[in-house]
Amino acid sequence: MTTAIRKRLPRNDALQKVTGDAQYADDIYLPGMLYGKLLRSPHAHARILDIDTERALALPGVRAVVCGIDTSGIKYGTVPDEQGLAIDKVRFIGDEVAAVAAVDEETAEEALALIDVAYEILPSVHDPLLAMQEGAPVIHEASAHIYDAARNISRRTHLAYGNVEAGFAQADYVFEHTFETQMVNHATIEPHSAVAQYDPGGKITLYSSCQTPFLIRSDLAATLQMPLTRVRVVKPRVGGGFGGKREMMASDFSAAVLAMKTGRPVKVTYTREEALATTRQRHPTRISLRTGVTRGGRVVAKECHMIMENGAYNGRGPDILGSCPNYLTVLYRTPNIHFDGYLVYTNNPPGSAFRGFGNPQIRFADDSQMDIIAAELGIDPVELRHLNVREAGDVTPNKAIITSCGLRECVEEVDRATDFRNRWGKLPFGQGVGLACGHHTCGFKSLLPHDSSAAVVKLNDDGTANVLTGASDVGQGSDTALGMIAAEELGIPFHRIEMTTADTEVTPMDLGSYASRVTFIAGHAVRLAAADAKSQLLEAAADLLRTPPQDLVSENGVICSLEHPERSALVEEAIQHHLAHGPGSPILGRGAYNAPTDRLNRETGEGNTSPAYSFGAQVAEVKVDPETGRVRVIRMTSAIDCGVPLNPTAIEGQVEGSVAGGMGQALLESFSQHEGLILNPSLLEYRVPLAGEMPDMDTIIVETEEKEGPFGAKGVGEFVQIPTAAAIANAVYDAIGVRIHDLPITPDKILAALSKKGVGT
Amino acid sequence: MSLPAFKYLRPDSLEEAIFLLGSHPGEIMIMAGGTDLLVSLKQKLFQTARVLDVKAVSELRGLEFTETDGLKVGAATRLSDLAADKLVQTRYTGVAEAAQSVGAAAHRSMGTLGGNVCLNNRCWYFNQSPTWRTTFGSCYRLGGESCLVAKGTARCRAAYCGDTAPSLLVMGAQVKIGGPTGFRTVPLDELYTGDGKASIRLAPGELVVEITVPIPEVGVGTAYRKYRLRDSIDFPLAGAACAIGLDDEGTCTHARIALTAVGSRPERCPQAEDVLAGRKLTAGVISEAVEAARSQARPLRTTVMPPPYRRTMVALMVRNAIRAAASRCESGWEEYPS
Amino acid sequence: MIRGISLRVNGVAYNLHIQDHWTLLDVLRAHLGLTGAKKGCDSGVCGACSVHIDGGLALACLTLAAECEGCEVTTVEGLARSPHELHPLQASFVFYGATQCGICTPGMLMAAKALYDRDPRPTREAIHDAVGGNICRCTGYAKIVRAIEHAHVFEASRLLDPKALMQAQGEEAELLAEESR
Repeated sequence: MTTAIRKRLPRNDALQKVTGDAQYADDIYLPGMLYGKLLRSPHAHARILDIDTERALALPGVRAVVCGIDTSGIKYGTVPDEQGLAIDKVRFIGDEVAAVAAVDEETAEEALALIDVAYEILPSVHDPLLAMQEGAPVIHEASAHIYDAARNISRRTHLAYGNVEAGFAQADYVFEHTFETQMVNHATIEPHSAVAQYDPGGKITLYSSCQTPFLIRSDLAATLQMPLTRVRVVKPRVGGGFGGKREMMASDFSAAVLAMKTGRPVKVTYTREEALATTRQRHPTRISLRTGVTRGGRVVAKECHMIMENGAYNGRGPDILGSCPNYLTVLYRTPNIHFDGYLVYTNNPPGSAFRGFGNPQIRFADDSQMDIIAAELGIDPVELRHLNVREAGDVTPNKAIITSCGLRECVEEVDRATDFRNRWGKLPFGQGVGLACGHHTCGFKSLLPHDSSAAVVKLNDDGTANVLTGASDVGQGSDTALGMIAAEELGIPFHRIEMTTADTEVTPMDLGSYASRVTFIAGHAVRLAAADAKSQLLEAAADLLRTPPQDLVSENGVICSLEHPERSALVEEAIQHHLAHGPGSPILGRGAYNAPTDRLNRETGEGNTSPAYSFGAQVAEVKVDPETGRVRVIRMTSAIDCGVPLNPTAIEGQVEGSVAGGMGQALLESFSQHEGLILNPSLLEYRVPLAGEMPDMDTIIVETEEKEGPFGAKGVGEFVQIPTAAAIANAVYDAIGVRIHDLPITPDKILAALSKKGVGT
Repeated sequence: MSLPAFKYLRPDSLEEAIFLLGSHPGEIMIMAGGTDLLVSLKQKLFQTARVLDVKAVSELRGLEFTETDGLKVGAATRLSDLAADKLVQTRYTGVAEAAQSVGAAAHRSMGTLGGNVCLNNRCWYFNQSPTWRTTFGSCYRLGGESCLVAKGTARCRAAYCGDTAPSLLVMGAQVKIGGPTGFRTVPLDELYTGDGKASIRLAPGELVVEITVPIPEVGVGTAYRKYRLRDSIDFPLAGAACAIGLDDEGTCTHARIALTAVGSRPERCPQAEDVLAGRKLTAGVISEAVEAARSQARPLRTTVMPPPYRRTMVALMVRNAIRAAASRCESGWEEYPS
Repeated sequence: MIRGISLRVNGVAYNLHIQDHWTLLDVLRAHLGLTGAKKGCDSGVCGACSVHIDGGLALACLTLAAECEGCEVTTVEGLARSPHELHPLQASFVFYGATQCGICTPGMLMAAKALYDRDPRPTREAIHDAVGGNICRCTGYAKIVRAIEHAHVFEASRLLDPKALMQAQGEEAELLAEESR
């Protein structure tokens, strides 16, 4: 019997969300607030010669116009190459050039048109392969951060583990294929938004639609040259993140700068077009995989060449590329690996983090190839996975430590639930099943030398508790998961927990929502804080009930003696007893956790950068209409190991949302571009799945107990989206015998491939 | 994206509407549901000093059916009302299907038949924000020298993407147009100019008042088939409407086919219709008609998906619409191989 | 041009001075403080600004405030029957976990209500059609569809009381889920 965990409890923010009460950044209207808008470059690559703001400033209602030269110009980013507003050069269509604050949106929009910018247009490059050639336009000046500026290579990750040559020598077969994945956008239904307030004492308060308030505070403080105490970042409710709101955006920076300049609150909310075309994207990639296998189906060596298109700026690109080798080593036992990847600048919109952090791209290639290998070797895909899956207790060639792993069981479960082996290769033409696997991290130590979080738990005299944590709920439900962890540890009902989160001034530090780290790392901190509070609570109860504290348990709001079950007290009675008879202070619990992991070694790629790994397997069942070429996913079965399931409803929610996202990338979502200009920057023509497109979805929870995780839990935010594209591609192959190597699998590609095969209309 | 300033006018009688239209030639735009016009105005695609909301004009609302005149639909009748009407569903099935296939639920409960019939032609070099349009400069439709889809040509290729027009065309619908000099009724076909830039043939001061659809010929079956990538929201990438009449022997006595989304106007397919007329609708005959429709359709790169693929979809939608319409014929129908 | 309009929003009468070209969405959000309807795309595609005007589903971003003269507008803030009684759809959304980030939720609920008012026990197809214009990026729609399917179960249930709903524990949940099957 538990107090909170394993229960299908309603989210603690659900009432606010169904009544319209939940407040997001764009819902904030402050007295005297101005509206900010950004002037963006219409050119893919140009030098800024001059900016004349006079006409704009003369427009009635305009309160300020700010250009790059009015700001510090300090570059920021993981590997700094980006400025809040461009000063010398613009590098993609949409690059921010100036910001305007005006009394209303109309005036601000009008003012943008009155800013005169003189550009010297430079040759631009939009294809990473061309960008890498000698003589290509150089996008960034040479610096210590850039691997080869002349060839636009921001970063090269070149690593080998084991003995690759010997590995291939052991192989009976070697398979080589190239795969491509497209640029996709997070398309959160809340566009990026920030409201900044400046007080004459010299302090900025920024309400930002973000995933990482503490990291944004660092970047904002650095670029504004202010101490951290003078910058307060508050995360209101956030309408979806998926990685797209984990860096400081020009909206954050400009709102702050404009507020400082005008002394009035300023709101900058992106239009849908800005959110889709100018923020961040999932990196397009080209992945060549060479895999050696034995006759029996064991993978013995792998060589991966990867071109990852960075777009105009780094974002989190260098670390994404740096993580890719890990994605090949962790999921399947692969003793010998050679990885050579390039992160290449182009004059296209910048790429960065997006649910999976490079893993979906690698997984589409690798699990598509696994399917090809299975067919070639005459080993069914389930068996091929069983021969190669990672197991608990393993240490990968690059020293990742697998503490818990239910991957084998996940494969078994999806096979059983879908009758996969009996149907694979045997369904009528047009119907197919496809299997793929995936994993992801529960944290990532890279940007900073720590991966940490802290929490405070305050017990109130009516038996309720306040939890303070810097963790950022961006919709995934971390406030609920963390509240449940606190409730469970304290032994008080969940609805008595009040969460105060993600305010850099009020809550303890947390790095934010990324790398599927929140439940694990912030959860650990919350549990420790709750445990600290509980030990004080039990001390008080021990005094009240005249029994040693180690004899007491707290469950569902009642503290009870194990030895003398008739001796019990309500939690509030114990708290009140503590206040009256204790040391005179209210009960305050503190907890902090820094994952016991290694920081990513960018040279060797070695080290255990995540405290645990989550695993899963997925079977897609599809129908392909041979006349239209349209693929429909009929059913998607996911078996997942996310440790002990804290809240099954929330977990299913993550799984189902991941399937939608993965299916979107697999089948629907893509940008058409014309020399760096996105032709479809709208939700009308950038098509994300709608309710009617969704398959039936089954989630099978394969429970493992992760010793390091809070109550045995692991992260669940990302890994389910990772295998989805490959599962669908494999199912399409099973259905019609056509292998699509480049995403998305659009109907025209299917028809073209069918007609090449001599099938079809 | 804010709307440009304009004066909002909301007449409640047709007389007043026509008077207002006539009083401000060239400086007034008609709005019914607003689902198309307001997006375009936000994108600053048009400039207008006035917006004339015709939703409150009682003469423009409602459906009326008589066995003599057929169906009369006020131009400001909501698409959802049209789609849900039982009589329309049974007697004008293709029209109901087309109305039901527009956008999503909210677009149908806001959007009107007149608005859909007069839908502005669409192109992804046109339907964009002012910021977006600064990169390549204006397209031909917005005053540029050349079309950005068919480079070097001085003609707008934006495509008509409404769903209802083809379904009405195959029924022989007529449009009643009101204006300063009174009313005139023209075949729907004549409402379209075929020029992407000024696609609707209305004189200044005129508006579409009513769409009339004659009594379907006895036993005729109708259908509309739409191809899109998602089952909701999306405009058609290809759409085909069909009306088929068969005699007791199964010989085609009546054939009408029309396309949408593939050209600057909704268009009838006379060659394809001729193929069917007077013949039994075997698979072979249908393929012949489909081929004729395919070769007529000339979709351009005005939206996602390559034009060759969209032509294939035109063919498919035509075939499906013929089959569906034929199977709805009173005399019944079964496809025989040729 | 400035004009005065009278309308009712969620049962409350307002006399407002507005500009002709202001959208209903901006007036609701910036002037009436009703920020439940969201601006997700501002071009009538995402559905996050869905409201009801005189009982009909409408997109507030494509409606002029001036059009609403004399109208009854209902937003998500007016969906609950009272502060102590949720609409069954709201309770069902909470109960089945149909909301994640919540940004699509207000529009989703209003689109669902248009269906619920006609047919409280709709088919899957009817639900897909009813919310086909509402984009959700978090949930994969499954729990939303389920919540709409089973909303009728909450009619007259004590779980319409927000307090009781938030304190509903596992067993009660199971019971209700059973009932709804």
